[in-house]
Amino acid sequence: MIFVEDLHKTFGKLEVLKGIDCHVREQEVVCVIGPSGSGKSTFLRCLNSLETITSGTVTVNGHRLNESKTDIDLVREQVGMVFQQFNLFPHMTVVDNIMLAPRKVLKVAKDQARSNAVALLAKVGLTDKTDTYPGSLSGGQMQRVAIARALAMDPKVMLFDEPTSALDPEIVGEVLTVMKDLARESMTMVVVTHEMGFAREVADRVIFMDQGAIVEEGSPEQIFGSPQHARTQEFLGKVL
Amino acid sequence: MIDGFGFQYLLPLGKGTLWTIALCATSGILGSVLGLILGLAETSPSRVARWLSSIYVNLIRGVPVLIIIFFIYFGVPLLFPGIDIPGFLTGVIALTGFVGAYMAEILRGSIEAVPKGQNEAADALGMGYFLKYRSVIMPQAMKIAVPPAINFLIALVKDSSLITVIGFIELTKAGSVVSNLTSDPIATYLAVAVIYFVICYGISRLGRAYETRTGIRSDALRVQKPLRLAGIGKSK
Amino acid sequence: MTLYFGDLLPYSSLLLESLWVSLYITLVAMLAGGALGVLLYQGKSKSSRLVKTISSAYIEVVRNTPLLVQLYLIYFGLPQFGINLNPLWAGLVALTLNNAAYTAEIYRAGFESVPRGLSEAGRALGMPPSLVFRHVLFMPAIRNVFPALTNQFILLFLASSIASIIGLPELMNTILNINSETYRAIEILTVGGFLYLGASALLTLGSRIAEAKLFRWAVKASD
Repeated sequence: MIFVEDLHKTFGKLEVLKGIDCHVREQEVVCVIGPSGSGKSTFLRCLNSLETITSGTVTVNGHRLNESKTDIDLVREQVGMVFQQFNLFPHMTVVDNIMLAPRKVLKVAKDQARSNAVALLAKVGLTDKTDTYPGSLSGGQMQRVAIARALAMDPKVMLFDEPTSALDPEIVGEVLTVMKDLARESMTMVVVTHEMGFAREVADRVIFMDQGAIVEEGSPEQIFGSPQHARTQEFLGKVL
Repeated sequence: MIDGFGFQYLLPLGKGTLWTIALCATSGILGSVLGLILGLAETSPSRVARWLSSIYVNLIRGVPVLIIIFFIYFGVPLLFPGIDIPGFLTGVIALTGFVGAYMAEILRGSIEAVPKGQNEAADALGMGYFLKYRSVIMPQAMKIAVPPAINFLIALVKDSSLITVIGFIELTKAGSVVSNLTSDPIATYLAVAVIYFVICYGISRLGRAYETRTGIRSDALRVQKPLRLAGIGKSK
Repeated sequence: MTLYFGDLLPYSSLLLESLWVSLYITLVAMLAGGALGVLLYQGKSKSSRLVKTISSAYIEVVRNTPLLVQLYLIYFGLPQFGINLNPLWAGLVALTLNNAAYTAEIYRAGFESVPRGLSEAGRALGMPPSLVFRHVLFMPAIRNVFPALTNQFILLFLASSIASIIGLPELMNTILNINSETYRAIEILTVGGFLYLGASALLTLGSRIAEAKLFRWAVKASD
């Protein structure tokens, strides 16, 4: 599904990713954890080319991201992304937010797009907010709409960039529930998160990153139960 | 095309330029003084002062510059019959009145942009109105006012071209005269445009240098108060 | 000296008609200039080096030279190349070209104020840059600079008086004609001034209403 080989990313003089190798299989849920500044968000954003690759290769669903003949918009149709800051379009209603890309990119007819959107809203539990503007939604509601918006493109893989970090603690749960449902439905997911409980419960694999490199990876039981590296143990000691 | 545009015509254009500069410098300075007074009046505790100054300011800012120019041009001889004022003076009076109103708004915005805490601290220290303004508010307000004032100076130079309608030979009028003599309006007015450009662009570089030195942005006021001050510096 | 406004009464309908002409050319110049301004903005920010330089140069030249000189170049200068525009067309072209440079800069401020996350979200959904610009960025950008845009409209309205110099029968021209017929300079200039003032005030009011209607979705605290 996603193949990352020796990925390096440099911002100016600073090397943020120092040779990442990673393979995400279909229907796998991979959680990426680590301290801030470890490069985990940058790594995630390289997977849909929101950050350009300095060197190395990233192949998503058969498409090589670095190559000039790759149609990056086409690749992004198959990769859904949920942002920490939600990034809902403020000038459109919830349902229009969800319908926009399917209608304009996939050329889905308006009625069809609307019924799909309404179905997705039901899935995330927000049917009553269909025609409201994002301005009147709470953070958790906005994030759930964001998830529905990304799902509307019927992606093969969903990327989550710290989806709950901007939410009040009481609301985190409603978003995680939606994400757990997605995992149960066998969606391929790569989640950068600080929610260790979620990772433990839902992840097939956990990757611990620090200072631009993957320090350790394994099943949740391995990483949380018996971390091998000192840095992993140190990090987990602080957050758990 | 009987005569073409030749270098000998740079002389009359040069004279026109000097008059334009004289016009703008004089009305710029006088107008800024007027603007200072009006700006202080607009932010003063006296309701009458606020009222009167804001009437004047809104009146001037709400009408085309041509109205102001013609008002002085036709109005002064009517009000003071027999007195023949030279074109330069008419221009200066009209532009001073114009500058005063816009500078008042710039100053008002600048005063209001000074953090409220400064006002409160000065009051708490027992400073009266004049001392407070002289030592605390105005020094800060003046620094904030410089970039938009420089922007407005550019607008003044451009608007001074309208003085052409009263027949006074500033740069644009000089251009008209030369254009008729040479029957080459393109070359003439391009030359005129270049001269204006050099002056205005030069002023804007000065403004940018001030911005980099002090870090005060020229659109700092616009960002804070878009409705009141967006007109500054954008006058045609 | 005595003021007598009565002499102006016969001209009331003429004044109102001319006011309408002024408003009309302002509207046309605003729309055309607004559209051209979008092109200029895009040229300045997202094109090849050459286009960027041309757009920036255009904006700088227009913003640093008087509108009157631009008008003269179009009305008196173009006939040298065989292009003869009547005062109406010359005025419209000059106002449009001038307005475009200012609106381009207003758009720039607007688009720069839109959070980058919005365009990233649009791109992440597979939308190409042109779609993102049109559907995601445009409305939020305009909303941020709507006061500046409406202010520009009013400035344009006041600037339209410049066309009187080349004989276009808009409000300022009519005012001057009435003056030369009645010699009631102060009266007609006062009335004319108040017409401009009143129209500007109405336009400001209209823009506040439009702002409330168009941007119902705007949240005051944080978007």
